[in-house]
Formats: sequence, C-alpha cells, structure tokens
Amino acid sequence: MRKVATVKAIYDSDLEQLLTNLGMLDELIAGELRCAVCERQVDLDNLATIFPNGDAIGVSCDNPRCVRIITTRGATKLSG
Amino acid sequence: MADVLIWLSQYGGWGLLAIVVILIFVFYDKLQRPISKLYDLLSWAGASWRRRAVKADIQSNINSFSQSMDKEVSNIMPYNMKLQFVSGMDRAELLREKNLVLVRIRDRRHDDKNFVHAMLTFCPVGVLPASRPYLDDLLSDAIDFTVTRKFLNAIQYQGALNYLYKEVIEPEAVGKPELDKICTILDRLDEQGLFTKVILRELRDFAVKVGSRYPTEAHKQEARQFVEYMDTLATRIPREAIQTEFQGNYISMGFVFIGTSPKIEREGYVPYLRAIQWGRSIGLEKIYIAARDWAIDIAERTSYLAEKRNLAKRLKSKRYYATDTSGQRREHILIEMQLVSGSPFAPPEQGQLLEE
Repeated sequence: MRKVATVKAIYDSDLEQLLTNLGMLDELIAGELRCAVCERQVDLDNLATIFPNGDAIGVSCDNPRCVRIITTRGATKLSG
Repeated sequence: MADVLIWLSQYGGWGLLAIVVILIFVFYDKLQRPISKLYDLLSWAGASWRRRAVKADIQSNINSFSQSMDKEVSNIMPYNMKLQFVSGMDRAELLREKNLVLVRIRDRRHDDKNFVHAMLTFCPVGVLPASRPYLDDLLSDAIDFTVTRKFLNAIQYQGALNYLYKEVIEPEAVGKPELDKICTILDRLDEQGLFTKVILRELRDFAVKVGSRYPTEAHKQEARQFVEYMDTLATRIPREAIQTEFQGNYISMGFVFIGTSPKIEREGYVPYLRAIQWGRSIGLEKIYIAARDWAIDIAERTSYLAEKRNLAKRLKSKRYYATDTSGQRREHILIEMQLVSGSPFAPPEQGQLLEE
C-alpha cells in the first residue's frame, strides 16, 4: 500500500460558505482583500488559495506564479 | 479454480460479495478512473456529484502517472495524492494548521487549470520528497515543471499543457534566465530518455547518501553541477571526446558509450571493459552502459562480461525509444551497474586479463 500525500482543496460551490465561516466574505465583496504575493485585488472570480498567514488569514489571486509561491510553502501534509 | 467454485457453492452470494469486496480493495487505484466516469454521468444531479467527479478524475490521473514513474525508478514518486475537499472549516481551525494551503478547484470547464494547479501543488512532496532540501529553488521548480509537463503529456491534455507553458512556465522564466536554462536542459534530457532514468534516480540516491545532514550550499551546488554535467553528455557531438564521469562528494557515476563499429571490429569488448575497470580504479560507484540500435547486444554482452569478471554488478537494464542528438527516434539501452570496489592497494592497471 503506497503512502498518501494529502492536498487540501476548496471546491467552487463551497467557496462562499467557507468565506462566510472564516468571516471574510464581506471583506472580499467590499474589495478589501489583496493577494499576499502581488497585492492585486482579490474577488470571488480570481481567488485561488486561502492560508493562515501569521495571526491572520491570507489569500492569493489566480496568477499561477502567486499560486505556485504560496503552495510551495508547504501545501500538503504527509500521512499513512 | 476448483477450490474457489466449491467455496462459492458453499457460501453462495455472500462468498461472491466477499470476493468483490477483496477485489475492490486490491484494485482500488485502478477503479478510480471508471468511478470518476460514473460520477461524471451523475454530475447533473448536483454539486456534490460534480465535486466527486472532479476529485476522482484528478486523483486517478495523478496517481496512475505517479505509480508508472515509480515503477520505472522506485521511490522517485513514492506517494499517492489524496485530494481532500474542505468546506466546513472555521477561522480557528484554519489558523491552527500553520502549513495548510487550501487550493481552489474550479468547476469542470476549468479542468485545465485544475490539473496544472493540483499537480504543481503535489510535486514538491510527491516527487523526490527526501531530496528537496538539498536542491536549490530553481532546480526544484524546473523538476516540478518537467514532471508536470510529462504528466500532462501522458494524459494527452493539450489545453492544460498550453496553460502550463503560457501561463505558468513562460511568465516565471521571464525574470529568471537560469530557470529557463534548467527547464531546457531537463526537457532535452527527457527527450533522450535520461530525465527519469538517470537524473531522478541519481538525485534520489543523492538524498539517501546525504542522509539527514543539514542542507548546505555545497549540496545544492553538487546537484546543479550534476544536471549540467548530464547536459554536456546529452549535447555531445558523436565521437567527441568528453568527460564521461561525474565525481562529487555524494554523486559518483560515469557513462560507457558503446561506440562505432570499426572500434568494435578492431578491439572487441576490451575498451569498454577497460573503461569500467578504470571507473572502478578512480573510485566511481556506478556506471551506466549506454548504446543504441545494433550496439544494444554489445552493451548487454559488455555488462555480462563486467559482471562475470567481478568488475560491476548489474542493477537494472532498460530498453526504450528516444530521440538522439540528431533528432532521430531510435531504440536505446541503458544498463545501470554498481561498481565492485577493488583492493585499495592495487594499482589501477593491475587486475585480471580482460580479454576473453
């Protein structure tokens, strides 16, 4: 049996609910969220990652370079 | 077979059910693809089926590719990927998991992005996980891009390949000419069949030899120099005399290329056996015997004789089709041999008569 590396993801249809749980939906709609890498404004259309960033929660836009920088920080946890 | 039939007649439907459950357990990975098709058929019924379809499709493709890579060279992709969708997480839970990154997976019409992002997220832990601390960032990125390209090629996903080139690799390489250079080298080595069979294999062994030492610049430089050395082999002009061995602190290997027919007619296997003996005398740990077309049999014979004369132990032999430096697609062979260390006091030329 091979070991498993888990990649945690959020599916499109669950995104709004998750943002509500995290208390970020209003900020997002108000245009107050910025990409942690390029500082571009993030909205429901271009949001690509969500991650803990110190004591706050960070997001990144869907620019592949930004996604890559965030995910190589350690997106997965090993188990099994 | 008769025993199974007797067992079935005795236990009837329950026996059949037990066999089906065992088969599902054993072949679970192989069943993921048909399961994803089944979910696809049900995706009109709601978002939860669409989510399952996307998950099963990405997982089954990545895991099947990862297993095929691992079958070619063991432990270069030792993990299966599990895509775990999170929906009910609150702020406190998210903040507790310091290294967590939630990657957005979009609806099926964005599958090209989904596949690229999922694979690039998986690569840093899925490909050569133990070697990563000893590779510099550019080499790590170039390996991820090359493996992702190989994956998308394997599943023949042109849309995702275009997305990878145009939206990921090209913008990333614009400000980093070194990254562009390494990606080009790895691509060339892959075309010649040496990326998986030699680069990934040697970098895997590199991590084993380094053990758990603290990663230093020297480790990163050695890995990078090794990739550049491999490129000099991949771009050599036929009959050009070049250095065929690489001796770092941890990576120690060389190549024996089975050459031209006049040389073989004149001298037989002797020069190749002598090259193996020389590699052993200078302390190389491993030799790859490489040949193509008509020379494949001679490579096999050379490895047989080297083993017979206790110069080296044959580890693995692989025949494959690849494009050579002149752009022709030809049959190749690569034989990996572990050199048997000789007496420490014996001069390099001493030893048994090599001729048959």
